[in-house]
Amino acid sequence: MKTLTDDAVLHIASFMDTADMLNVALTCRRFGSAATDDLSLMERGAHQLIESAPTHEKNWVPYKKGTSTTWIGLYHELLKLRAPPSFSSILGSGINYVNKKYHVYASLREQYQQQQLQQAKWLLRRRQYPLTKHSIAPSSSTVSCVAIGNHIMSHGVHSVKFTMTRVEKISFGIIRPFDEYWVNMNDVSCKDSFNPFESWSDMIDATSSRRKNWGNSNVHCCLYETYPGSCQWTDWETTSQTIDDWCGMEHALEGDVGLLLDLDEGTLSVYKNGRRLGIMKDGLSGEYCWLMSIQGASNSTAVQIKRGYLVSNRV
Amino acid sequence: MNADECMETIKLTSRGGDSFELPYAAARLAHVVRDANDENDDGDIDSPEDVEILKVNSPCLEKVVEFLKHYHEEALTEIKTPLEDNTFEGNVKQEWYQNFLKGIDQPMLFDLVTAANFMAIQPLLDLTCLKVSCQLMGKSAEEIRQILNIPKLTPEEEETARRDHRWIFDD
Repeated sequence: MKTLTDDAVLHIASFMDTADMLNVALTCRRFGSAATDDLSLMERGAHQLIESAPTHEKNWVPYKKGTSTTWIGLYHELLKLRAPPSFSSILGSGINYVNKKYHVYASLREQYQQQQLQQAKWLLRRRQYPLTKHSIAPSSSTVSCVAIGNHIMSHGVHSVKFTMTRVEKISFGIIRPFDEYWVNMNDVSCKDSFNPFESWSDMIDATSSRRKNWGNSNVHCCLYETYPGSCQWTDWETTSQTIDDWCGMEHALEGDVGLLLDLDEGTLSVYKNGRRLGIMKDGLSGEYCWLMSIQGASNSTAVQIKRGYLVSNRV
Repeated sequence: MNADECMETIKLTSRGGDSFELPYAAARLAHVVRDANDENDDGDIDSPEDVEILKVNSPCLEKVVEFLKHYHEEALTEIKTPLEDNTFEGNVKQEWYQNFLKGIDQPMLFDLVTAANFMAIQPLLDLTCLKVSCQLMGKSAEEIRQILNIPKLTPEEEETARRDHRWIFDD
């Protein structure tokens, strides 16, 4: 490889993913040194790949001044954000993947719903439950499940579109990223119910090592409630929970809900079937993931997550 | 005359003095040939002339000319990134181009990369660099070192490299 010019090596690097670039970088100083005064070829290659990305993607890159982050590392982050959005983690026993993990569907488990139905019928027989049409469904406090997106977003503008197959008490929004090990330890098999607005101690555990990346914002979880359309957000450190009306607020009982997270401006906007409703929340900063939350669903619900159209709020 | 419709042939001469004849319309894929013939931005030339490629040896230039001739008949489909597959054949579907690099040794492959870069033949550069990339994909640093004939790092150098790129081991 010594006979190859730097240009040729950079062209070879342009076809590689970051794991392969890293392995090449580990072979010798010419390819791998991350010294800032004399970038190695793989570092230069990663830098060039970032520079050649579309502007909105370049803005996603989490540059952190004064840290030892390498260009290969930053390019790795860009590739993760460039991947299609999916639900990488699900918490709460009432939710499951319809298809394979990365086929981005989530639905309430039929088995769990049957249990809920049996409980409701048992209560009816004992006359401990009001005999109304709605009483068969599990109440909103009985179960809460969440699905968390794979993207960790800290810079730039991001958009996503959620498609619901049935109308439920369902919310879409953002949440601080969880520690990977915590999610693995508390997956669907061992957590019955998980509510990001109530499980305070869980939330602190789940996010402990990532809290240094929270920025200045005290908005740690923020959801658009499809009915009635309000904004529900929380500050985990003071355990305060707030429900706000917002300008442009509407409910969304069917179709698509789009969210646009602008981390340059610190805002979260809501779209209903492609129509912009307005900015639901401002004052956002630091790292967030996409979040879907279902509470007390009565029927099989499926939700699909897709990348949305990048429409800037800034006119 | 318009260079794209030029029916005349030229000779490319290697470092070893061997000459290879091909239509100018095929040779002009190499920017070094266009520049030597003062081809203007509209693709007009007076009369094409032979070009000496002194940085490229005879066996390599013969392969380059073979590529140029075929490309003129059947262009290489653009290689899209991110790659669809981690094999060369998975990304290059045209049989002729698959066979073009089949069985060539590592020094010749590197010579072709260098020649394509020097002669500014973008499709040949894409093809050969993709071939090298596919050879390295999924390989450990030690395996890559053997493929590229790179001396082993000292333990201190290896530790420094791993510290520089710690992020990937944390993923």
